[in-house]
Amino acid sequence: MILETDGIKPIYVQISEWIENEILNGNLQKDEKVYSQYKLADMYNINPATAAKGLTRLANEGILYDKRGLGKFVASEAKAIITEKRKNQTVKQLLHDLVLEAKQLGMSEDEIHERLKEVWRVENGRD
Amino acid sequence: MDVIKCEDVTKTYRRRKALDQVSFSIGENKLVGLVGRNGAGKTTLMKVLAGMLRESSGRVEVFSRRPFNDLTVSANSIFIDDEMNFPPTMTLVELLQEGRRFYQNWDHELAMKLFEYFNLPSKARHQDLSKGMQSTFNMIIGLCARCPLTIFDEPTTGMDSVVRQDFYRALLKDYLAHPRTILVSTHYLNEMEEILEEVVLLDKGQLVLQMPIDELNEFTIRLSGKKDVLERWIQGKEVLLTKETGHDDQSVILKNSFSAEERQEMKRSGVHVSSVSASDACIYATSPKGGVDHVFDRSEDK
Amino acid sequence: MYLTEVKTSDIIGKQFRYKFKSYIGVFSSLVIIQLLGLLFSLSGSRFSSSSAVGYQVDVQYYTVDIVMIFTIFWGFMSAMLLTTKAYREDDFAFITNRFSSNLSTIAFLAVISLIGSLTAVLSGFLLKVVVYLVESEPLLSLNRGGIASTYSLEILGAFVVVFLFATLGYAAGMIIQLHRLFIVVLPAIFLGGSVWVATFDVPIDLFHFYFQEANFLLFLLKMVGTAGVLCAVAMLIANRLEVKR
Repeated sequence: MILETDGIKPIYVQISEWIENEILNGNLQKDEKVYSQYKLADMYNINPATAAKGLTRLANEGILYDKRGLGKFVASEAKAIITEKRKNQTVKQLLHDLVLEAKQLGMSEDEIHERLKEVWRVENGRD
Repeated sequence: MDVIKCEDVTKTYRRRKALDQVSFSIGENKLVGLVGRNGAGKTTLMKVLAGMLRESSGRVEVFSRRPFNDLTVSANSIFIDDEMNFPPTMTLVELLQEGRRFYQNWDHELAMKLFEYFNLPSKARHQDLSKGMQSTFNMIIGLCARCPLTIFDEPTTGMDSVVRQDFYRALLKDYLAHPRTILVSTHYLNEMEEILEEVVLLDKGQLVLQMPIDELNEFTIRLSGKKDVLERWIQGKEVLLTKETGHDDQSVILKNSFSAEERQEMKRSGVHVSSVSASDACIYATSPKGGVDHVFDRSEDK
Repeated sequence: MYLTEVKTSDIIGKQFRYKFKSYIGVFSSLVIIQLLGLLFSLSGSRFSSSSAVGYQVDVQYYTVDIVMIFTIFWGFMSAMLLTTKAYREDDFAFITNRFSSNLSTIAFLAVISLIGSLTAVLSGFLLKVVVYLVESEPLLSLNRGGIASTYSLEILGAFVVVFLFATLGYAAGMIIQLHRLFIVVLPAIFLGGSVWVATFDVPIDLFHFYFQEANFLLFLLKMVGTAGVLCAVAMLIANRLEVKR
């Protein structure tokens, strides 16, 4: 991952999203230890407190759990939590933006549905 | 424990107040940026903390001691600026050896490695170096002294951007390996904000704000759109900067006091919402109202 | 948090070594000024002649008095130089406070005063050799038995005088650091004072008090005591000075 430093998204959010992705694509298995705040700070050239904030965010959401003195580990239900969260937040936000943009362009609801189906077909066809 | 604690610290030069009732504290092992425009009082504050200048009034505590004339504070802190006074009779390597003799935690191996990495001439004397090379050398001393309180005043003066990036990296790496309290003043906040934990902003000798860097990134917000639409949102708020961006368009910067719902609502009404970087936020928080454009506006009216 | 504890004496020692390296330039000026003094001494300092019928005796005295005076002047100037910004703040790059910085500088002044007076006294030998080689006339040695103890007393006496003037220069330099105006005020006070003493026959004879003391021990005491007072004055002032860089 390369950090976006243009300030659109806070660094700690980017860090936590990167770890989420690592969990989603299986690079981090459940009960596996995740990188420490110092390791993350070194990897991404950021302040360890920022990295810690990203980790804490995940711990608060139940994606990671703490082992005292040992660090943070991937919770068994991590994948489910991340998927659910992204459905409710990321996808929802994208849909909002989509509808807003469509409305500005004067598109109808049906037109959007059509286009969405088309994109869906193309993307699934690729797999 | 707080490593630095200031209460109503004022420093007066003749009649000018360089520091005006500054109160703040910095916790142990934090890497903190000190920012502000020229003449904001950054250097004065740092020199007071380093025990070089004496505060005119107020309380200054470093390691719970008053730094002026305190040997323990001096032994546990180092102040690096671009006016380091090194004797012209000694070579750079001899100076590093002096650093080793003076500072208990000095890492001489690191010093010599950095010295080689940055291609500093070992037989040269400090005053023969270019400004950037001097800063590089001073930085090595500051890092390798490993003082519990390390103060850098504009450490990157004269460095080219490659060396600056190396410095930020070296600072972070050494900080990760040997956590300590580091205070850095800089005009390049955008270059080093990622490695900082907190920012202290001074303006005209006064403390403007002190906050974690990621809060500062969300501290101000830029709204742009039609004037009449914007009007509804910025009413009663403190606008830091207004810019005409078209016939009827406007872009304003103001403190971010909007909830996520409000921002969503804004987008719906056609307002473009964008974030303002920490370094821009500092600029807007300390520049005169309307910016330099304002000066030209007035002269056009006349 | 682990704080390093330091001993003041330890830091003073380190600063002394550091100052020896960084102020090494005072020794080259010492060599130059003493050689210059020797050069002036070659012409002889006093001359007396007596003549009787048929012959004439010319006696030329060779002393290193001029070297001594130059060395005293050098001590004064070197000390004053160390109080200027370029030198005074040297040790603030490393660990210091005003107390340790001053003590290490004063120790440094003491050592260079000793070296200066040592070489000044020993330059007497050099002078003799040179005169021996240059002059065709016979050389007579006056009241100098060449006893080691005589020379050590001479060196000790020279040292306290050079050190006194070094501390005088140090104190004067510090006063000037307090305010630039003292560059003018101090010489004015000194000159005015001398004129005042001379014209009104004021019964203060400093020269007599210090330099015509017959008792050597008392002389030492007066010198060292005054130097101590001057050091204290310098330190009191330095304690208030801020580091400007």
